[in-house]
Amino acid sequence: MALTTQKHKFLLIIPLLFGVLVGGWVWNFKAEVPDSSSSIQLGGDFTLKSHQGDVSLQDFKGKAVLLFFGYTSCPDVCPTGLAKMSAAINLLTPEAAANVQPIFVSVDPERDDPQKLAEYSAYFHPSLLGLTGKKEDIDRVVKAYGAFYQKVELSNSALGYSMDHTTRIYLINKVGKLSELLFHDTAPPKIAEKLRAIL
Amino acid sequence: MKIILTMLLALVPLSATRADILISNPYIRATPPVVPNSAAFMRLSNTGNAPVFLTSANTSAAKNSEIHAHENTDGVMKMHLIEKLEIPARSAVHLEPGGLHLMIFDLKQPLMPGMTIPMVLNFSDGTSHKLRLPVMNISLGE
Repeated sequence: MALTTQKHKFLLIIPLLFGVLVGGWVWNFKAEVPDSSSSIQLGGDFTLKSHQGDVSLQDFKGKAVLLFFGYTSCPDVCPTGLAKMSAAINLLTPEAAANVQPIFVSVDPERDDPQKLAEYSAYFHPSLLGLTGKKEDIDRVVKAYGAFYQKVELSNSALGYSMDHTTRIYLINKVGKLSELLFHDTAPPKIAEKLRAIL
Repeated sequence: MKIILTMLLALVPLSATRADILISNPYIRATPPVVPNSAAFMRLSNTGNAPVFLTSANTSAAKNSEIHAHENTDGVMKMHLIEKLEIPARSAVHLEPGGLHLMIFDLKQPLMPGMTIPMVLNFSDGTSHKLRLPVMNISLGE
């Protein structure tokens, strides 16, 4: 009798163990790739610094926002992404374009201050706003948007270090909710089409 | 004897300039005002039967040039320096936005469309190629 009880106890442990394992796996999976499975929950308001002071996402309620993370020393991917965002805005009617706010968040506050970002951003589009901040403030935004960046020392390179980073363009609707994730190499007409749909 | 010597002499420059490497569509990106770095792109074709490596690039317009590669891992763009770039026999390598590029550091002046930049590419077969790269606005690659 005593043996049967023990056996029963043991049998009970199996599904329990299984549950813990599956639960752990699901939890891990969500933690690692928060952007692929639950893009609806990503995003949200944030405040960072421009050359003219604090800027929050909610300042642009009523406008569609294009958000891109990068750094100004980035030789290739960032200029491409920003040029495509700008070209997309230029494909819109002036009325529609006035209702789009493109934002470039630098994840490299060591090299990019708000003044430098302002000059850099203006080169791509007059309305492109360059934002950055303290590392912990940037990290909060990066995390909220399921983005990622990492400082990588480049031995032998004159660049010193590069920032590996996600290269998505975030499309945010007029009420500040993340609408869609695009890629840095999405063609401008495609980005323009997505913008028109949410304006 | 004289004839042989002449023939030999005639062969010397021929072998030295025999171009297994062909460079096409080179260009360098125009730069935003505050960033003294740019990237150069081109197509390198190797018409020979042996692999050739691009070992270095230099331009009088900037302090440093490096060969960089990009790798897209799960949406994260990682950039790294490569010491030499192989151009396999009878094939071509594209240096293009989002992939391989020559990163140009510490430009002496911002690059604007209409300018051209001199560059020398050095290869493992001992040849050097001089080229002039037009400055182009960022390609939007529709």
